[in-house]
Amino acid sequence: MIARLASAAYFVLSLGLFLLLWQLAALWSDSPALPMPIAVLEAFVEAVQSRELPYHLAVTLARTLVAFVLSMIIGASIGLVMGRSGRMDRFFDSWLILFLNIPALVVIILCYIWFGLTEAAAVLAVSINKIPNVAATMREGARALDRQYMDLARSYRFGTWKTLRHVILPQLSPFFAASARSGLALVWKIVLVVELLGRSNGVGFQLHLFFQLFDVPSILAYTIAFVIVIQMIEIFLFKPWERHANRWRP
Amino acid sequence: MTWLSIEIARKGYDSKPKVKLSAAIGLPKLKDAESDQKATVLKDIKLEVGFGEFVCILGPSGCGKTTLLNLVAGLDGTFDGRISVRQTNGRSEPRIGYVFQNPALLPWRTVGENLTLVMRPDQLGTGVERDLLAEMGLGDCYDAYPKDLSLGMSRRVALARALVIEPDLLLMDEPFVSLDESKASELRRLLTRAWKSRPMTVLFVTHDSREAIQLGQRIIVMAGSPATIQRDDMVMLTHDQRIDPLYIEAVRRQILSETRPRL
Repeated sequence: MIARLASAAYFVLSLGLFLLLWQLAALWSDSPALPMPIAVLEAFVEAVQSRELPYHLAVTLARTLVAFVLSMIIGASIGLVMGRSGRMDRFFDSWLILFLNIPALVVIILCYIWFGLTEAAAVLAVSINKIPNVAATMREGARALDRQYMDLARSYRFGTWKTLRHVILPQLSPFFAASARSGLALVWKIVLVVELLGRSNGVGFQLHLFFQLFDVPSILAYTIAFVIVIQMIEIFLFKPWERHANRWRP
Repeated sequence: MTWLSIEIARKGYDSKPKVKLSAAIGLPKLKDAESDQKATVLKDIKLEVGFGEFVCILGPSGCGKTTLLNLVAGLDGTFDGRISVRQTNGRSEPRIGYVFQNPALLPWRTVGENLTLVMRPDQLGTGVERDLLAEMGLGDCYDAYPKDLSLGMSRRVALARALVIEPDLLLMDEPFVSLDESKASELRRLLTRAWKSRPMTVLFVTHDSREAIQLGQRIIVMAGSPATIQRDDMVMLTHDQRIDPLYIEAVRRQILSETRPRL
């Protein structure tokens, strides 16, 4: 309890210091390029009241969710196959390295050129950026599977489905959790770029608009709102799930 | 009458075990240049076991005893030879319970779940696993995770897991190693009791000659590189004699006098 209070106090203090420094910097620069915290708060309240921010936030979150689920499923499958089959791994390893190193922007531009400025192209572009990362992480997990549990599954005649569910997937859950966390962080950032380049709604589109209008308070208000939402997902969804998945660990 | 017949002409190191989904974790390959002699683990192993026998396979560490058990369990099909089992109780494939050298309990499943996972569909919901655990003094651990068990308890759960399926063939790979003597002998008592209460064949691998004499009706001594069967003795001791150090020592001298391994 005391430890909790202490960490809460630290959080409030460090946040307060951050706001103070921001305020001082804004006062010192005295330019519209760096608005004061109170101006950002006003912009935020206004955007919420006009229902613009909730709408664009929801659109971006929906895109993030679809792209995230898609890349986790596809990436995990690719990683599993590559981790378990030496031949597949040797053959497709160079592909993986290639895709890991293509800049996100290139993928986005090419997707828009090839598939048009559509919703599907946008989500696809985000997924293509994320899939190689998930695959690389899951491949490590699949390589690290413990032989003794495979022997157990074999000698007690578990069958494919039972082996997958009770023997393989539990061993992969830490790798899955790791790629899910880094995945969410990466995916929403790429979604913003995708929206900026070729969508007419979403947080990324709004930021583009504010950039042209030089509306810095709105840019910061949208950014902060979105960061808070992502942090909520992390704290209230990912962490409890991770705790549950790791309950057996010493 | 022979129930289990094992004939292995040759089993080498070089073959990758064909475990589904596990190609990545192959054994290290030996170079072709290295002699065939060195690459052979087991050679000319012939063993016939009757149903209900308790056979101890005794040999120095690393001589290929585990490999032999894995072949019998069907974990590794890459060998020259044949392993066959006669029909038991109308089933063509025997039920095999395997107690590994490590307890190999699934750490992400509770003790109870570890048992129900291996059970047959018709056993589920009957509560046999609860009864067995209680009988083995593990009644309180049903909902515990393996991380909370001592090594002795883990080994006991591993034994319970092998027994709960009512095996025809029980394979045991040094199952009581690294336990102190009192814990180990308690587990040996549990095992002997289980074997007496239900007919099953036991293949018990150990490097401890005293343990083999205490448990086995029959002792196979394996040694050499590649390993072969050096001796095959019946142990004619009564229950009381088996726990008497003098008798054990006498049998031990007799079995090991003509074989090279120091056990």
